[in-house]
Formats: sequence, C-alpha cells, structure tokens
Amino acid sequence: MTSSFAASSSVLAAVTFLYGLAALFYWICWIFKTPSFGRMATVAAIAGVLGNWAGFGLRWWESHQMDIGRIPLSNLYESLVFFGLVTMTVYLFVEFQYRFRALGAFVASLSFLALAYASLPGSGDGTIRPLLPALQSNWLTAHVATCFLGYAAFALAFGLAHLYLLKKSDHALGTVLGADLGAVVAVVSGLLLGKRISSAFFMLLAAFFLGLAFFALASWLFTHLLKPRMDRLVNHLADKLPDSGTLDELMHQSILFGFLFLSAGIITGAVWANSAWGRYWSWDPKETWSLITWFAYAIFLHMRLVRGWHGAKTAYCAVFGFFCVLFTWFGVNLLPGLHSYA
Amino acid sequence: MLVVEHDDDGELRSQERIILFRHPRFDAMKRDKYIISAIDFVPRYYTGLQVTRDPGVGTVYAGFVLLMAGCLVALMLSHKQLWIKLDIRGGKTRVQVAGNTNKNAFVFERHIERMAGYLFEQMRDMEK
Repeated sequence: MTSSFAASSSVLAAVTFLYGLAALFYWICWIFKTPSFGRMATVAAIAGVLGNWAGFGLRWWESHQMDIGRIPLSNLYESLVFFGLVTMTVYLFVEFQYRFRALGAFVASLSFLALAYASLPGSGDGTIRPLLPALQSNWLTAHVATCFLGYAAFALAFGLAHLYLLKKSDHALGTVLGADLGAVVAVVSGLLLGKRISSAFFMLLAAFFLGLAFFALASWLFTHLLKPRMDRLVNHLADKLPDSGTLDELMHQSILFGFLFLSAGIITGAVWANSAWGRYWSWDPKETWSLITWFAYAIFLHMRLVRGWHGAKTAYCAVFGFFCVLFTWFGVNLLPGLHSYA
Repeated sequence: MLVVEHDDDGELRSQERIILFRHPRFDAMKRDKYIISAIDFVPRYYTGLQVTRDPGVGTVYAGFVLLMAGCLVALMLSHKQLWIKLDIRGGKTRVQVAGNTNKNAFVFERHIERMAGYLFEQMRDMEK
C-alpha cells in the first residue's frame, strides 16, 4: 500500500517546498523592493503550480492503478492539495493581468500552509481509500471543484483586503491585523484544547472567546500603539501597489467570482445529496455553515451594489467572509455530520 | 423466548425464559420439570427499503436555475446612463461628462473619471 502512492506524495512534498520558497521570495521582493526576487518567486510559483497539477493527476492515475479509480477530491488531504492548486493558478492569472506581486506574498503563504497541513498526519495522511458507494457520482467533481474555486477567490479577496488597507494606510488595518491574530489564536487554542476538552462544542466555544479576546487586545494595540510608529513601514509597503481604486475593484470582482462559484457549489452539492441520500438539504453543520458564508457574502454584495459600500467596509467583509470559509472548511469537521470526510 | 405453561391448578401462566442456542443445557439451571433448548433455527432475512416520492424536487431544481440566473443578472448587470454635454460659447467648447447608475456607483464613478481623462487627452492632442 505504502509504495503505491509514494510518487504523488513525493511530488506534492516538492510542491510544498516550492510554494514555501515562492512565499519567501514574494515577501522578500515586497519588503526589500528587489525585483529579481520577484521574478524568482514567480518562477517558483509557476513550477509549484505545474507540480501541483502533476501531483493531482498522478494521484488520480494511482487510484486507477489501485482499482479504486476516483478523482482525488474526497478527503481533507485532497481538498487541501486542490485548494493550493486552484488558488495558485487563479493567482498567477491575476499576477499576469495586473502586473503586481505583493498579493503573491499572502496567497503563496496560504497555499504553502494548506499543503504543509496536508502532509501532517491529522489530515488523512495521503492514503488513497475507496469512496463510499453513496458518494460515487460525477456530482462529486462538480461540487468540490466549484466550492474550491469559490474558496480560492475568497482567499485572493482576503489578501487583497490587506493590500487595500495598506495602500490607503487605513485605520481599519489595525483591526484587520488584530482579527488575523485572533483567528490564529483561536485555531491554535482549538488544537491545544481539543486534546483536553472532550466536548467539541465547549472546545469551539472556548477557542472562539479566546480568539475574540486576542482580537480585541491586538486590534487595540495595533491601532493605538503600533500604527503611529508603523506609518513609515506601511508607506514603504504600499509604495508600488496598484492604486486603491483598482485594489477595491479587484477585491469586489474576486468576491463576486467566489460568490457565484460558492452558489454553484451549494447547488451541485444539493443535487448530489438528493441523488445519494434522497434529500437535497439535511441541515448538516457543513451545509449550515456554507449557507452562513453565502449569506455573509450575499449581504456584502448587496450592500455594495445598493448602498455603495466600498473600501474599508469591503475589506472587513472579505476578511470576515474568509474566516467563515475557513470555519466551513475546517472547524465544522469537529462537529458530527455527513461531511466528516470519510 | 416466551414460555406458556399450565400450572398445577390448571391455569395458564407465562414467563420469559432465556435460551442459549450454543448451550442446550443452559435451561437446566432453572431446575424445572423439563429443559427447553433450541436445536435448530431457520433465519429469515429481511431488507428495509425506503421509497420516497418527492414531486417538489423539480420545482426546487427550477429554483436553483433561477437563483443562479438571478445572481448573474443582479450582480453583473446594471442600468447605466451616460451624458456628454457640449456647451459652445464664443468659439470655446465646454465638455461635461456625467453618468448615473442604479448599482455599484463607486466603480462606475471610476470608469467615468477614466473616460473623461481619456476624452481630455484626445482633445488636447487634437488642439496640437
């Protein structure tokens, strides 16, 4: 068993390394203003994406060799690999279209984290297992592919939100950085508490409030103590970014793209559920949370079109929405449900 | 199993008795007049099938299609009006560009600014 999936696993390990390298180079290029590192970062990112596609295809082929024969889109490991694949592919299009690389620092870091997490033992260890008979359907491909295209677009919007606030040197930057830190604290404390508290509900509650406390503390620190001292750094980082209007529009387009694909993902999921279980909606935690995410973005898009929300409000929505996406993707797995990834 | 027997008085009496198939002498522990044991059994298999009829599914799927179409229309299309006003006064022309939209006014504003800038450049080139 071990040898039969070694090839795709080692390809994907190399991809993890390439994404890490790309992320590092994008950050160096952005912070130290060294275009040569930017070119190297793009090369590493392209190599990583090609490797990622190859690893994805190889894994599919390997599953056929093992007489399982299914598209690799059905557990946490495969979803993480696919997320890296889609996110980096979409990002490279944006890079070539808009000719700036700062977004790569965020996106390559996220993709690197996704692939690094995939190689951890907790995420299904990469073994190819047959699919439950109920789940074998072409709707699987449609459902997972559309959902993850949506997630990738939301990840881009999340990165763009930071760039926009940097460019505007907006007061909201401190709040958003505080929210990032709060989210990291919530995830880490959730992982640590998970071993001590047996009830998933109380664990999530504790992690949520810890994250909230850190968010409040950190955003206060960032806005009142550090922000005045960081102005030079912010101006330095904002220097060669596209103008704030372009970033705002790009953020809006990413969210719009993601929203349409998330809608299609929920719908294809419902059709698939109807053919597999005879019900198109069972209020399973993942369904509920994808609906919450859908509402979050739907309300934002509506407010933008009708009430003219833009700028910092868009950035808040992009960040908040992406946290909803992350909870839909990972947090929900701690709750019992039909999506518990085999 | 449920055992029904006649009492010494001739009345019916029932009691629950546990009989183990693999241990035929198990019932002997009751120290009754007789021992009940199972010698053989014929299993009867059954399958539970659930049949659903959901005449509303077609309506729901139609709703899905409408939802997607509606999202596309509501989010991607908007009603836009554009005016270019020329005031000719004493050999000079004043050009005004104005627009109105029902959705996403912020982006449209940027488009109009860009358009006006382009127009301005063109006119400056023509003057040369």
